[in-house]
Amino acid sequence: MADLGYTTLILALVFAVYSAIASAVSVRNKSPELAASARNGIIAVFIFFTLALEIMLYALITNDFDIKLVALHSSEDMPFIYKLTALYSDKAGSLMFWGWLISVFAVVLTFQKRRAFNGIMRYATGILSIILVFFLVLVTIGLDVFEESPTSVMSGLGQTYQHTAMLIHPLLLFLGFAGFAIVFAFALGSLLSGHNSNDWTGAIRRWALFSWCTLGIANLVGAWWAWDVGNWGGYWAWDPVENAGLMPWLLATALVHSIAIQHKRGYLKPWTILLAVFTFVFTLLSPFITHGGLEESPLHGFNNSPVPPYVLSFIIIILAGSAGAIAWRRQYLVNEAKPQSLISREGAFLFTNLILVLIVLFVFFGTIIPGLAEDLANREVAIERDFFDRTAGPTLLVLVFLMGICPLLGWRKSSSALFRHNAIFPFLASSIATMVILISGIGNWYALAALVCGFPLFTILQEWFRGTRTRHRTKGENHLLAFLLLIWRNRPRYGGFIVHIGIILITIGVIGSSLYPDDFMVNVMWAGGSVLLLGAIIAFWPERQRKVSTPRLA
Amino acid sequence: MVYLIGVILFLGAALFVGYPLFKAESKKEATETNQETQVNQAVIRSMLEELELDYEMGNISEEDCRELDAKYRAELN
Repeated sequence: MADLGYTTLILALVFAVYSAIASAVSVRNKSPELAASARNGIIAVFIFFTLALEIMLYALITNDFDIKLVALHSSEDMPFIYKLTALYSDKAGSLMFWGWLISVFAVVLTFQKRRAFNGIMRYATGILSIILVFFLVLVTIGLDVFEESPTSVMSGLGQTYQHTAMLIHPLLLFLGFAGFAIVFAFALGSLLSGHNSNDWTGAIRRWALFSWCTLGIANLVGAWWAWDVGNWGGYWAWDPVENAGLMPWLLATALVHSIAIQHKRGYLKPWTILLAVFTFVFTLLSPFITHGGLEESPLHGFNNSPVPPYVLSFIIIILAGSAGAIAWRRQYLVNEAKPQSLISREGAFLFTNLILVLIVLFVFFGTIIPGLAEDLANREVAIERDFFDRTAGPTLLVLVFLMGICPLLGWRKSSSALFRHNAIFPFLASSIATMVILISGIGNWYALAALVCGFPLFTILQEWFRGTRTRHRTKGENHLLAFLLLIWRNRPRYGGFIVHIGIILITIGVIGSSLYPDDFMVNVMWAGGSVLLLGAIIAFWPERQRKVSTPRLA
Repeated sequence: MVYLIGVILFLGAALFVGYPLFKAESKKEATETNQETQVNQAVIRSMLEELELDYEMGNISEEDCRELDAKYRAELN
C-alpha cells in the first residue's frame, strides 16, 4: 500500500515537472498545442495526488500501522473523523494535503480562465506547476509521507488535538494557503504576459476573497481551540505558529483592498503584485516556522524536521523570480489614474495598506528575532507579548479608526467642507458614547474603545441610512427594499462595511479581554471536587486537565 | 506488482498529456481584447452608478461629480 502511494506521488512529480517545462516552451514558441498539453499535465498531477491522498486515507481508516504517519497519529480506538484528520496532524501529511488542495484549485482555475485569459494562463500554469513540484519534492524526498513504521506501535492523536476546532482549523487554513498560491500564480502570470488591462483583478478577486475569508475564519477557530483547551494562556499568545497564520491574513487584507482599487481605478498596481507575492511567501513561512525553522514551538510537534531548508530555498526562488519579473515588466506597473489629492478614497486605501504592512513588520520581527539571535549570535533573546501588544495593538486601533474616515471621502479628491459635514454625526455620536462610558465609570480603556470603534461604526450606520434614504427618494422603493437593494447593487462596498463591523466587534472584544481579565485562584483539594465561581462550575479532573464549565467570564 | 501498476498509470497519463500535441488546438479561445473591453465597460458603468449614489448621498460636490461623470463617459465611449 505504502509503495503504491509513493509511486503515485512520484508520477505526480514527473508530470508536474513536465507541465512546468511544457508551459515555459509553449510561451517561448507560442504553441497552443503545448499549452494544452501542459494543462493536461496539471490534471494528471491532480489525479495522481488524489490517488495518493485516497491511499493514505484508506490506510488511516483501516489502521494500517505499517505506515509511520498512521502509527504516529492514529489508533484503533480513535473516532472515525479523527482518524481522517490525523492526516494533517502529521508534518508530511499536512504538506501533502496542502499540495493536493493546490492541485485541485489549479485544475479549477485552468478550466475557469483558459479561454478568457489564455495569455495569463500559459504563465500561471507554469508557475503553479513549479509550486506543485516544490510540494511533491517535500512529501517524497524531503519527508517521505508513506515512510514505513519501524514498529507497529500506535501512538494516537493527542487529547488536545481531538477537538472540533482541530477538525476545522487546519482544513480552512490550508484552503486559504492554497488559494493564495492561485492568486500569486495568476497575478504574476498577468505581469509576465504583459497583460495591459485591469480586468484580471476582477477575475482573481473571488479567489482572493475566498482565501482571505477561509484564512481569517481558520485563525478565529484556532483562537477558539487555544481558549477551550486552555493550555496556552488565553485565545492568542503571539506564539510564532499563531503569528504564521496571522501575517498572511493581514497581507491578504491589504491585497483584497488593492485588487478592488486597481479593478476600479487602475491605481495601486505595484501594490497588488507585491502583496500577491508576499502573501504567498508568508503562507510558506508557516511550514518554515511550524517545522522548527526558527525555534521549537510548543504548539505543534513538528520540530527536528528537514523541511525548513527546502522552504527557505523555495522562498528565495520565489522572491528572486518575482523581483526579476517586476524588473522586466515594470512598464506594466505604472498607475493609470493618480488621485488629485491623498485626501481621497484612493489615498485612504493606500494609507490602509501602509498600516497593515507596518503591523506585519512588527509581528514579523517580533517572531523571527528570538530565532535569529539564537542562530546567528548564539544569544537568547525573549520577545514577550508586551512587545506585540505595544506595537501591533495601537497600530491596529489606527486602522480601525481609518475605517471610519474612508467612506467619508470621495474618489480622486475630497473637499474639506464636505468631509466635515459628513463626519459630524459619527464624531458626535462616538464622542457621546465615550463620555457616557467615562461618566458611568466602566473604565478608561472602554472609553477609548468607544471613540476608536464608535467612529467607524457610526460612519457605516450613517452610510447605510443615507444610502437607503437616497434610494427611497430617487427610486420610490420602500425603506426595507431600498436598504436590501442598496447592499445587493453595491456588494463590494456595502459587503465590505459588514466585514468592517465584524472587525470592529473583534477589536472591542480584544480590548475588553486584554485590559480587563478576570483572574481567580481557587483551591480544590480532591479529584472530582468543584467550586462555584460567578455562576460557573469549576471541576478538578487531574487526568483530563481541563475545565468543564461552560460560561465564560471574560 | 506495484511497478507494473506504476507503468500502466504512467502510460495512461502520458497518452492523456501528449494527446493535444497531435491534435490542432481549437480556435474557440476568445480573443482577450473582446473580453477586456466588456469587463472595462462593466467596471466604468458600476463606477458611474457609484458616483451617482455618492453625489446623491452628499459624499462629493456637484463640481467633482460633473468632472468625474464626464471623464467616465468619455472612457465608456
